[in-house]
Amino acid sequence: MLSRDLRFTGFSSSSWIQLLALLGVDLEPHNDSQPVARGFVVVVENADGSPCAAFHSLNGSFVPDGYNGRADLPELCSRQLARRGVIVRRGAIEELTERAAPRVLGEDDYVAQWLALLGTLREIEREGLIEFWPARTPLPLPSANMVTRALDIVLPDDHSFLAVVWDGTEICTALVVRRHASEIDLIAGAELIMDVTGPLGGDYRRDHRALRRAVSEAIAPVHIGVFAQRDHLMQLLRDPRPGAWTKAVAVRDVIIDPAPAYVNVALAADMVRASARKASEWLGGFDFLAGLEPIARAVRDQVSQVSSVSALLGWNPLQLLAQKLRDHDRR
Amino acid sequence: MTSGRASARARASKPETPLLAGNALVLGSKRVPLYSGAMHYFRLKPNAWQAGLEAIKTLGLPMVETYVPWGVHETSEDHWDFGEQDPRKNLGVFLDLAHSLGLYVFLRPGPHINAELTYFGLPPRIIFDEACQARSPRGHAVPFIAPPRMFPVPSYASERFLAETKRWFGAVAEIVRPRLWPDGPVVLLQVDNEIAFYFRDAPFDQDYHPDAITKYRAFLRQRYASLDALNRAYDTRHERWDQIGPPLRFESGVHSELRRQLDYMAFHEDLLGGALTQMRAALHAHGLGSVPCVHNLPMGEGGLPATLARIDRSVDITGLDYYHRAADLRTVKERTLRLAGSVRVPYSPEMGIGSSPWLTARSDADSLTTMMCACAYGLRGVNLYMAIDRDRWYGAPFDEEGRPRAHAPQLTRFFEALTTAAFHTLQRRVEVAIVVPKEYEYLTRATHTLGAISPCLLDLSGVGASAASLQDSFGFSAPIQTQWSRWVARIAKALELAAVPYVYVESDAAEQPLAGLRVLFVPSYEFADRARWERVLRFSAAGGHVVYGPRLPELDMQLAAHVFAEPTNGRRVEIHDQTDADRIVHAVVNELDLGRPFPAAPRTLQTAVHCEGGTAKLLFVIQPEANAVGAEVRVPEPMALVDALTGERYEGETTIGFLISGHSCRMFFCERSSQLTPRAKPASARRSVPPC
Repeated sequence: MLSRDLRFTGFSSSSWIQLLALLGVDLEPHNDSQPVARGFVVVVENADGSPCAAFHSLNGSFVPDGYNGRADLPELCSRQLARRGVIVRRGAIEELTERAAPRVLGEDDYVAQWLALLGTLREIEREGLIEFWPARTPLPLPSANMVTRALDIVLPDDHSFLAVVWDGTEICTALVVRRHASEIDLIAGAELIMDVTGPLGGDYRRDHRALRRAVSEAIAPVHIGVFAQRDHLMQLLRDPRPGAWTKAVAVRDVIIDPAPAYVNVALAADMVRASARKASEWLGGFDFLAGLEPIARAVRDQVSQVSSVSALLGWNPLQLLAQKLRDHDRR
Repeated sequence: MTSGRASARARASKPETPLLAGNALVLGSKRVPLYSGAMHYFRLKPNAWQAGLEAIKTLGLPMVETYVPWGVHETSEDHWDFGEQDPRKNLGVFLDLAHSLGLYVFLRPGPHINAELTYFGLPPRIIFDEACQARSPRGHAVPFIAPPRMFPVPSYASERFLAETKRWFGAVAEIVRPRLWPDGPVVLLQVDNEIAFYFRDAPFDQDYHPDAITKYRAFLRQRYASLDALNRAYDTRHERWDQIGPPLRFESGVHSELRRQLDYMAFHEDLLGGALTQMRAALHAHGLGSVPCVHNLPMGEGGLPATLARIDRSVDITGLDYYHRAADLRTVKERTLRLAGSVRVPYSPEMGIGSSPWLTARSDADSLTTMMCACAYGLRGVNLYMAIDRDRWYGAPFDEEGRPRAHAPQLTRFFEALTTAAFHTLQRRVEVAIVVPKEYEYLTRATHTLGAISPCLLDLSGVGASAASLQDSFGFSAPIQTQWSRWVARIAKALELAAVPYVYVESDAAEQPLAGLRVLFVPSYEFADRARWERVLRFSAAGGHVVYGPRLPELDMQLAAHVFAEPTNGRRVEIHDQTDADRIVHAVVNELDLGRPFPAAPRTLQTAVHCEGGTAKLLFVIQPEANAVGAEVRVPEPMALVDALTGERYEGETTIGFLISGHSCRMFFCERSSQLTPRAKPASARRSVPPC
């Protein structure tokens, strides 16, 4: 999925950091004075279950007094002010790397290599050599083919994805991703996009056309373009309420141009969910969604690409992202 | 006026090769500080080269640095493109252009370069040649997870790989040899990059390549001389050397087994140092031996298989990479103090300006603050990596066309300040060192329990290289592998609180770093390296003060009984907690009246003063905490502090106050203020007044 000749270019520190901030990457250090649970605890155990090493990911090693077996991990995490914990049987990582090596090197695609590595990790976990607390409900691991087919829907070959984000009248960050020969071969930032576009007026509701046209000509036809003010987009990416996206698009807080069929379907489904919830509130708890279900199903059946992506992967990437961002912000 | 004969004599006496002296390159009559900026010619359009090189000059840097990637120049076995087909690869034209613009050049031809290139810049022909690949304990190739492809890492033991490297250096030499200074601009060469087994550096992760096993046996043969001696040490019954295999994991803490493990850790270090020496010899063989040779270690050096001091014996300059956020200033301090105390020229071949998208995101302020903080604690030369932006990078001060970004002017002011102060000639006076014993680092590595999640990665993550080491004491009074670093950390914290400047000295560093020191803090447990202890005794016999503990060693590296003499001026201490360390340091500081130059309030603030002769020239004030504070610095005489970046001026007779932001560093020129009256110095402050 990633080209061997992948090109990444056109970012200043500021534009890269602002892009990551949209996706919830931590850029500010935590305030150490707050006694809240942070980080994770690692306990390495011998074959008989006795601990032989332990450390907290932020505070370093400690002697795991009172730890007598895996059942004690939650209590240990609580004492160490850690949010999570992992128990590793001595030799488990060595087993993981030995088993994964031929599988990883047998693939010639970065995503496939990671899937091979994660698949081996799951195997080790099933064998009890590694155990996480709290217990994870891991997402189904798709095959590399499934990922490729999902990507075919989201970003077809020889097309680009474009996102441009404004802070007032200035572009604060932007991203263009191009797919060529089935692989992502370009990830570029605002500087490259501005180089191909030239001077802009500063109003995203107007500038988006010039941006879309220029990127289509210079890089690859834009398959989906997202244009928004930073604050709006930041909020939307975290908004769990049905209808939030539909409303933002309707009032042009976010412009999606072009909007491929799957985006329209997603927005329609979002609207259906929002209407259902509102109606349910007005009707004193009557489950209106059940009544709308046939309509929603019909919409999905007609153009079912959103459900296809989710079905292919076994999970909905957008829902997962929103959930992660909300979790992150809560923390 | 100089006569013609005199100038001819002067020319004749001028050295014709670049030399290193006083943290600078001596190029004929010029002394050129080690400041440079990275620019990758092979990633830029040739018509952008001039703008990039001129941009580097506008930063005030005398030198450009670039990798020369093997995988980019090799088109097929024994065929190279140095511009014949692709003008971007015309290294010769690039070097000539730099020369014509008055820039010197620092070249890094690998073989390993990383540079976020696919396969770390090595040709696929080499990467996928099984004879070149490192091996796991079960004989598998060893992948590294770097995007955009995980790849099997090469073996530093593979004779095939080393021979191929020599051929590559031969090809590079054809272009570079005619352009070595003084005929051309090339004044520095680096051999390899971040020698850490390609980040698969855990103790039993690799290298079980057949050539590595052969070298391991040769190492043991040299160490033990006879099979009998080895069998006695290991409690084994080998009849032939080829029956001996390397340990595949840490088996047990029985002392015969511990000996074997410690030897294996020593072998890893020897293997890496030996590979560097061999690669450097290849440069020599191709006529590139006349310029000083550099190597850089990656972050997490506390967990690496080789010490800085060991690498410093294979090359002329050993440096560290810095890719930190401003929130990590304590780590920047610790790393720089170890570098400054253990190598001849404290230098950074990769001072991250911007970063790779694969690493932690860093702002422009992170880059500048990290660099200033490293200079504060003793770094004397830097290569800005990157000065000119490129593929798979963001945040360089100039874009790929050489156009300045927002932070370029600040960097220019920073280098103006360093040049004005002749920073490379200044000294940060230090009277105290903490010794980092190599034998205990070996034990920490050997007892690591998390496989490929290596001690280096743990050190890099901030939890310390020993975080996942076994907590068993193996019959000693304490688990030495985890305790020694705690002992060191407590002493360091106590010294910091006491505002006493210090460095870390690796136990195998050259004798030179001990010169001028008055106190050594030496962790010591049941076993110790005899050679290290001899050095401690020599230091003590020469009048130095030694604080050691918790025990006087009684076993040597073979874990055989040995009588270790007590240092003449020694005191043995036990440190159970931070209070013990604070008490001991307080006593030593008072007893020896150790210097505490320019102390600052509040106590979280740290200062570092750099002097010329006895005069303070530059003062750094560092706030490692997140909050902005009003700083108050006690000065030894009426003076003015002038911010080197902003020009703000603060004056005072006994103290000087100013604001400092959280996670930041300020650099001040120290100026004697002629308007202010010198004050009488209280007798109690006599020793702590002169900063230098």
